[in-house]
Amino acid sequence: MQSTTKMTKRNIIIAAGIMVMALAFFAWKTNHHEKNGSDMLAVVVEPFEIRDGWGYRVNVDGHTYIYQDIIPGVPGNRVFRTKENALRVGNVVMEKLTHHKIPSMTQQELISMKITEAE
Amino acid sequence: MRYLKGYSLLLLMASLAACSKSSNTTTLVGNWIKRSEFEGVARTSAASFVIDNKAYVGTGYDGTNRLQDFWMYDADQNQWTQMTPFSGPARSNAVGMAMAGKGYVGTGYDGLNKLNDFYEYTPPPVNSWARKADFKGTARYGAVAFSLKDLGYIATGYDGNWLKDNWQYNPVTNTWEQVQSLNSGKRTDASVFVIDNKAYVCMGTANSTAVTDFYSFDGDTKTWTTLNPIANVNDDSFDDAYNFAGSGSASFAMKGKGYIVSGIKGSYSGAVWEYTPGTDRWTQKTDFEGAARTGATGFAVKDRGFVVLGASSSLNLDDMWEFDPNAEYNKND
Repeated sequence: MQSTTKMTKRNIIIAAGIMVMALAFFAWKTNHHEKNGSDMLAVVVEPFEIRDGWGYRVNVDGHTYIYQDIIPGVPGNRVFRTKENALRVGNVVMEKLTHHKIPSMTQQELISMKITEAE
Repeated sequence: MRYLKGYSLLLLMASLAACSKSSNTTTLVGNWIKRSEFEGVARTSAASFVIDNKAYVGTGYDGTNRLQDFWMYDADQNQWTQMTPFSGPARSNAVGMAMAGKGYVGTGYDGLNKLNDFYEYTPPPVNSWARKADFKGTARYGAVAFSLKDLGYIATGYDGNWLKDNWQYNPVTNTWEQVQSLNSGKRTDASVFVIDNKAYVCMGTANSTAVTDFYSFDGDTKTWTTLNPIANVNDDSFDDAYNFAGSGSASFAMKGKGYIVSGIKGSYSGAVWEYTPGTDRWTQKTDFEGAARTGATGFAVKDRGFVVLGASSSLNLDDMWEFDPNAEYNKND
């Protein structure tokens, strides 16, 4: 008799524990969804090595939106000389994207940023 | 201030380097934007052409400025790469076409003037533009362009009047010559798609009225054939449902059929119509899933149809859609 009561108590504790965990999971999921699902998009710049130089990706919401394996806005098939240069230009592109500007770079902008490989 | 900026940049680099040193993944810089405010490369009335299964899309209008930038869209990866900018003045409502592995863009509107200049794009690794012989017809915007057997054509448009003339460009000799005009049906903002060495020109407006005349141009005989109008004009019932005459639609051809997507048909329409050349008949397909729009860019890559960009009311759209012709059309959808 006593053991049965004990079992029931334990069951209640286990059930309550499961419920708390389920609630916590649900709350986390809702929160997670709001942050990453419908409302805000993460915009991330990621440099990568290509043809003995560097390019960059701009990922929006986890998907590559801009894939820049050449220097943008200049003729030819050039790559950035350094990771830092790719990152700096990618960063400006990201700023444009997040400030409602068309994310295009011009040669003048690159030159004024001292990206000498774009000259 | 300059030093401060430089210093903070250094600090940022250092912190980023610190973040990435634990793994071999690359450095990241991040930010957030509201989904509803993401515009990307959004624009309307861009020019486009397809070379080697890549779509090149550029120029156009962002609601404030005429644009000069040019992008390559990789349909397999669903991503954009910024190429060298168009070398002529920024413009909208220009035309684009591809011939023999090169792209061509010309005519259009710079905000003040109608244009007649014409340019050739050589894809990577060259990635550059060169000015070619000016279009020999009158300066205009809202024309259509197509290529048949590596000869280019620019037809219709608006030069102050609605037009039905047709001009052929030979890229080998870099020369223009006038060829047969459309039989009738002067228009601007028309649509064109090419199937089996024939260009099908439909849609468009003249004098604020939707044009229903429909023609095909044969690349061998260099003549136009009149097809059934896209309106309910026939005593037979096949055209009873034809209600899609309008302008600013995206168009493309895939798997031997032509498609007209969205555009302005009285008001913004998301309707999709499929043309079968053998029977000269149109069938309505599943409505466009994206926002109904005008000035979007349509193209086909590897027999897959895409509609990208465009504008709806005052909103420029950045999204891209692949069209599945086998999706069932549901009238009650």
